[in-house]
Amino acid sequence: MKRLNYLLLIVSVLAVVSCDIIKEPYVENQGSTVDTTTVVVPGEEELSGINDEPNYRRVLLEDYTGHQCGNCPRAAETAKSLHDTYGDKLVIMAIHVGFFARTNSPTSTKYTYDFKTTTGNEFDTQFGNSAAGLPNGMVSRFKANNSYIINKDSWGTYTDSVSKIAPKLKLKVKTEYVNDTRTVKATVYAKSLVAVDAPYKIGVYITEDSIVNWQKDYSLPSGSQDIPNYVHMHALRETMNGTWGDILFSENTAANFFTTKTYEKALPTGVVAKNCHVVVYAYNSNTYEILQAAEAKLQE
Amino acid sequence: MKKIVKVILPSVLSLVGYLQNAEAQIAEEIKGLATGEIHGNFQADFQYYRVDTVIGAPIVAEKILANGFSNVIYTKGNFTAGMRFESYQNALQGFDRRYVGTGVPYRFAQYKIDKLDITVGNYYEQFGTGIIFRSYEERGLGYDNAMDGIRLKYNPYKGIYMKGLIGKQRFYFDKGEGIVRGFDVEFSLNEIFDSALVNMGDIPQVILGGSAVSKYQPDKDNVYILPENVAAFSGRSNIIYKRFSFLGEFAYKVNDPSTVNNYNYNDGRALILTANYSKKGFGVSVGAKRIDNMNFRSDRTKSVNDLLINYLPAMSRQHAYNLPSSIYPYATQPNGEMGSQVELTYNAKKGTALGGKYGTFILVNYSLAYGIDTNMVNPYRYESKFTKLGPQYFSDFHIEVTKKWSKFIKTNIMYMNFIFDKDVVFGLKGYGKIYGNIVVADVTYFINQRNTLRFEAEGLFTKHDDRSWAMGMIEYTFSPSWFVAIMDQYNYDNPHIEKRVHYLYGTFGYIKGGNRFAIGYGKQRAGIFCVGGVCRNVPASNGLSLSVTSTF
Repeated sequence: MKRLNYLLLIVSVLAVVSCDIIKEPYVENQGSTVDTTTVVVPGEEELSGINDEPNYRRVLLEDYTGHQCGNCPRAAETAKSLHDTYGDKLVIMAIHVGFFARTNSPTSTKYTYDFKTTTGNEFDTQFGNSAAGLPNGMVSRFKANNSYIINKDSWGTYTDSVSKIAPKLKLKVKTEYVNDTRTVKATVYAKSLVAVDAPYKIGVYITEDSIVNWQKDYSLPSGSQDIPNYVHMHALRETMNGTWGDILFSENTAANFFTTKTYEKALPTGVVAKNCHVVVYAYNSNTYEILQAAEAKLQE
Repeated sequence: MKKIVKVILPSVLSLVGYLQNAEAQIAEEIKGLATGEIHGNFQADFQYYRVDTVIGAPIVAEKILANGFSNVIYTKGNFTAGMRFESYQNALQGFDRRYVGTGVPYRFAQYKIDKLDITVGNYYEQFGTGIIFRSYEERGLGYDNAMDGIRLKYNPYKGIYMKGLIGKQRFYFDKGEGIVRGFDVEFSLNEIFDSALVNMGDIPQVILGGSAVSKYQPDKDNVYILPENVAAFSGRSNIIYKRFSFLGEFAYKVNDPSTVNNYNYNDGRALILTANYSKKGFGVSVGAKRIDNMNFRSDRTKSVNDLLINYLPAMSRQHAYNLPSSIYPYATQPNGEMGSQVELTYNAKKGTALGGKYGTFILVNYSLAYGIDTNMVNPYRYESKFTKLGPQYFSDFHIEVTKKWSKFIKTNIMYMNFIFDKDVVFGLKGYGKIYGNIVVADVTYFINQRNTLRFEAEGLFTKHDDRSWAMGMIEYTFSPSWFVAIMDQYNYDNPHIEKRVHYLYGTFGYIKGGNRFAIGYGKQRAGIFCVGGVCRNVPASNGLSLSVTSTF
């Protein structure tokens, strides 16, 4: 009995010690959001051009990858070929996570660039991508056999089937960039096409193309697997409204409901504005399924 | 009157006594008929993770992770039913995070009637050596490809055993997309012809078997034309005669393009041959295998450990000691390999020069693995000469000597020489072949009937990769209740000085009746493995772990 007491003591110590003590600041620094859901300026809907948006569901392809993952260039090639096939119907985000995205010590010559983000790590904790083995991806966070994680060989199949589902809303994003202050401004326009069946949330992110840095590639001959000037595309760099975003349409919002949201965030240091896109997606906050996506270059 | 009472009363009383007894007996029997038996087991593992940048232990958001499961089985006569609860809150590091939440992923009912054995629900099964079908679980590795459907076993005549099954395989808390169906028949010739053979003296025991397995998965791919039904066939024979035994199995699989074989349209073939000879004090075991394109899954897009239909057996010693089993463990290469193994065991008797006072046991084992010869004729097919060896993947030569020196001391010493192609086995690039030697010294000191002290020292010596490791452990057991152990693994001459870390780990365990508690604290090494173009990393960890198991 005494032994059992000691065991219980250890377990309760474990429980107490495993807690996070937060110091100031207590609020997440999300950047300012001007929510104009209740007051829509007359004529704004027409001016936004939302009604000219095509009537299909854009698919968001998330490619979970890492610069030390030698099999990952194959997945990037698959993503690129799908981009060539689907054009505007496909929005891509490459998210660097886990062991294969680790950075070497600053004194090392290779793999010192940090592609990881807090948001990417939070997606990874939620969906388990790095634990399942890289490369893998998610197609509009659609669940196949109860799994969000989809092998690159099936990305084409699911992009095809998801893009054919009738869209539930239209989404459009307009961007503005102030060079001196490195401020990114995004205005998101959304219009429901059918009655909203669950709370829809919206996530707004900044991705960067053409980051030239190291990448491992196992298809190259032994001794030359490290590519010094690989062109990394669609890398997730920052979120403008928090990893899981904020509410877009509450449940039971009627069809044909139009709303505007604006966001502002400073571009992180080292990120090159002319290579950036703002990616926006609306998702069912109960099932995580991404219902619509949109993308716009930061600087034309 | 008195006479009648004197005679009748005792007989009436004894009759009443007899009836009371009989009633009690019948009551017992009825009780026995009404109750069955319930058995099961339980295991839960909890781990608390601390951040440790030195060993590369990542930040674990939940801080505490836990896996737990429990099997409950009810048996009554010819009927068995059971289920397994599993709970992952969230899954421990190294497990796929699609093991999440609580569920009942395994449930079944089984009934035997007139030589027919019916199972509905989940079941595990194996045909022959498993090269075309094996459904099993290895809970500690997170491996579980349980079938969910129907299984029938029929024994129509003595010596003929038939099995038929159909279903889908487990995929975390759901099912894989493909449907698997299989049939196996085994003929034990000695049982079938027993009346004809009864006077023939010493004849060999012969068992012949054959199986067919196929899977269906729709072709939703818009690039390739894929076969929706893929079948595999195998034939096996097992012969036992006097001191010899022989087992051979050959399997053939039709075209099965998949992620793991890079959408190649070749057929698959596997051949396994093993032979044994044993007599008192001496044994020889020889084996050879050839595997060509035998990745067989119920979903062609899956890799790592997901949805495997078959199991390609290892043909090398599965070491139990730490360094030989965990630093460079060999894994069968489904896309193609040729391997062989020879093992000799010798038990030197007490009193002989080699045997000493208590006897000595010597084991010598040598195993090899090579790739197969492949010549691509076009991007989707290759030719392969059956007997031509490809590049060397692996070799393991070891000698192990176990000797009891006195009533108190027993030692086990092993020397091992190995060659290991890290690129091929781990699916990585840039590491090449590792050449090295391992030495293990294991000394047990029996203090008395209840107290045992064991020392273990191991060394792995190599100039390649992370270079050499040293390991030491002291373990004290107070039988049967508790044990305490402390172990250290040290990568003492890693080329990067900051990676020369001591992985110190302590365990304490307590066993009482059917319950076992174990607490561990310290650092654990990372591991990495890749299958079919996808790599998984089991991260290093630092922290406290608690494990509780129970059987009832």
